[in-house]
Amino acid sequence: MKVVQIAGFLGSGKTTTIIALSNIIARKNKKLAIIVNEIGEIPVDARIINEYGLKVREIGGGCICCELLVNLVYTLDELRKFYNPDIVMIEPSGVAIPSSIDDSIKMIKNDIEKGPIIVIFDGERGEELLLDDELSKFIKRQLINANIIAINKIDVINEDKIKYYEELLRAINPNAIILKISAKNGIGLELLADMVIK
Amino acid sequence: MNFHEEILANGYGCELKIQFNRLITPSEFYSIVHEIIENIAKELINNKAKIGHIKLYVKTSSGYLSADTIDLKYGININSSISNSENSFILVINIIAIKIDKNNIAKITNETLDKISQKYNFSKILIKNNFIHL
Repeated sequence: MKVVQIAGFLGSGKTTTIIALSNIIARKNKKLAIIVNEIGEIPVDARIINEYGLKVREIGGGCICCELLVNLVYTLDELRKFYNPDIVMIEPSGVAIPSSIDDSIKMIKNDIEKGPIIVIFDGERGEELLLDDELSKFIKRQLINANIIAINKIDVINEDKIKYYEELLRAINPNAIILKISAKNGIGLELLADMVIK
Repeated sequence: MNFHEEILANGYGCELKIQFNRLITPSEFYSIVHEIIENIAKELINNKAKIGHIKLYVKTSSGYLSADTIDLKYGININSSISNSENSFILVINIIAIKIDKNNIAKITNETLDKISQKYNFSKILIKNNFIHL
C-alpha cells in the first residue's frame, strides 16, 4: 500500500486534483482510497469526493499534521487491514505541514510504502499569497516539503506567468520536480498520475 | 505539537435543512447558492479578511451541488448534478479565513443566510455548527 500526500494551501485545488487523479488511477486498474482531513467537524470535501463513488475516509475536527496524527496512523492501519488499496491519497488540510505527516507515515512499518509529497501550488493567486507578509513564510514551508510541486490552474494564467512561477518555485525548493497542471481541465494529470503510481 | 503559530486561520462550518413552500428549479438552486457564497465573500472582504476558502455543498434527492471561491476576483465555481425541482435541501457551508475572528465569520454567515432566506422565502433549521480556530 503506497501512501501519497496531495498537500497545498487553502483553495489551491487539492480536492479537484484528487478527484481527477482518482479517475485516471482507477482506469489503470489500481485500487484506491482517499483520506481527507478538514479542520472543521462538518466536512464538505469528503462529501463531494464521496459523490464520485470513491472510497473516502474523513478525519475532521483538527489538523492531521499535529493533534490528529494518531487518527491518521489508525485510519491508515484500518484501510490496510480491511480494504488493502494499492494507493492511498491523503488530502491534508490547507494549513497542514506535509513533513510532519510524512514523518508519521515513515513510522508505520506494516507494508506501507511512502510515496511522494505532492504540493499543489495555486497558479491563480500564488503570487498574491507569496507576497503576503503573514502567509508567505507558511506557504514556503509547505513548498519546501514537496517532492513534486504541481502548478495548478495553468488554464487561466499565461506562459510568462508559468515561467516566472517555475523559476520562483525552483528557488524555493531546488530538489522538487515541478509540473504544470490544470486539475479542472485534466492538463498534465496523466504524468502526475504516473508519478503517483510509480 | 502545533505548527500553526505562523498562520492564524479561523473558520465556521454549519449544516442546515432548507425548506421552501414551493418547488425550486435546478437553476434557482444555482442562483440561491451563488448569492449565498457571493454575499458571504463580499462581507468577509469588507471586513478586511483574506478568504482561505468558502465551500458549499447542497444535497437534494435528485443530486448535489458544490460551490467554492477563494476570492470574488477569482470567480465562483459551481458544479451541479441536481436535475429535478424540489422544495427542500441540505446545505453545508465551510469557511476558512485569515485576519478575522471566528465569531465574525459565523455572524457574517448567519446574517447572509437570514437575508437570503427572506428574499427567497425559505425556512432554515440548523442541524449542527462548528467554530474553527487554529
